Amino acid sequence: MMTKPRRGSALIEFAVGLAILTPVFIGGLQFFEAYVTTKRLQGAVSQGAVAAAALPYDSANETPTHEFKRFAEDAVLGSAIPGLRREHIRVSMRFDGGRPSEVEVRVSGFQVRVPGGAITLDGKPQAFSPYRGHWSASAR
Amino acid sequence: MRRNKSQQRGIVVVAICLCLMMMVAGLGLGVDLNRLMAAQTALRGDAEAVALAAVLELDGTPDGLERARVRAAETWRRHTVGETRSTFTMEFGSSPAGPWFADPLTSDKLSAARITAHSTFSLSLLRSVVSEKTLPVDAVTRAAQTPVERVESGLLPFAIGPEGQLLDGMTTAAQPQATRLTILNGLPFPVKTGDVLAAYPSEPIVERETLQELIRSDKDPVSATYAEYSRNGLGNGRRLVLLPVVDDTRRVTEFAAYLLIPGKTKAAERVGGYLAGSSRRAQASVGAWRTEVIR
Repeated sequence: MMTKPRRGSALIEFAVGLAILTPVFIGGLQFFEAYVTTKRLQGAVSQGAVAAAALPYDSANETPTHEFKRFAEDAVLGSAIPGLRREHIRVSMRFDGGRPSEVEVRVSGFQVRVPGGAITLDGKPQAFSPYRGHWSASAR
Repeated sequence: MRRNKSQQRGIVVVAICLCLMMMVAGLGLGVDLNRLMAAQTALRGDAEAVALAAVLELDGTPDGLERARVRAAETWRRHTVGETRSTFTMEFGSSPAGPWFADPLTSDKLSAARITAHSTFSLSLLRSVVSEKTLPVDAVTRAAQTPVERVESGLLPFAIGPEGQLLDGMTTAAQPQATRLTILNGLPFPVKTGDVLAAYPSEPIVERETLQELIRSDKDPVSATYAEYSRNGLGNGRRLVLLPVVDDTRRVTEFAAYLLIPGKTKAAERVGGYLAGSSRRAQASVGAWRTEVIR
């Protein structure tokens, strides 16, 4: 009676184990990275909204001027999130009672890598802050 | 010996399964903890916005206190859509250090608000490990009107004299078109108490027309007094301007909010402290103020 050859079976088992665990581990890492990026984005847009809310606002309507937008964008970009560019940042002003009342900053078109591909953040994360700066009148 | 070897068969599968289970459990724990932290951050952000919105309305009057409550509720409702389990309580105080009152007896000294927000967080993967299905999430934040020592923007290029009259002459040199823009945009340089403001020749026609333009850009261009302006509640604050008060040597002694009076040349009524971003006066009777979250 011959015994089955067992030599090499440990190697095969190790290889199979590695083949299963490695993608799970890498997927977990990618998921964690995506989560950290999203969280950093949330912090960055909050920072942008709070900074912009204290700025002089020199537009007569809900569309901010180029300078105002640029300042808010710079505040968001200050967080140095890899891949985040100016065109991903949307800045708007909400009016209430005929005056600026709330700054909103959101991310749009930014891609976050997740296991198996990438998801595009469209309008999120977003942050808002009640406007508390000086509304200058030259645009009216 | 052979029996031992046969018993070892399948142990790798078991080990892999155990590893997988531990990794998935670890991932689940990480996901839930991160979601919990994100929920806490979002709740704190909402609470800060509500506190700032409320404090912007405090002007030392019972109406201001009521407006603060209404605006806080509106802000909360608008930004917590779908989060029906979120609630908040609001308290008011005369300083960021408290004491805090949910129903203050008087409104004349109130310049700060404290928001306590509550929410419940639904566990997903951790639900299989702990007995609770939800966890409470809380955030407490304070905001207050704080004094501005150095006015960077929004200061009208005129000065109020010791007797309360608008002094002749600009506080910056400007050509007619620049005069108009300086009145509309404010002084292009910062000013603080103690600075001496020079007097430059007036451009009477441009000044009068631009001040009237400023008045017309207000949603309430007709109220003749601040009491009327505030009672009507229509104004958007364009007529409410920040001016420096100077002594005989044109040294700035204080700042205050003034309401431009329609139909008169360079006439303004002193209304109290100036609060940036508000269409009403600050709670304080003098000075330039801004609204800040107190950390």
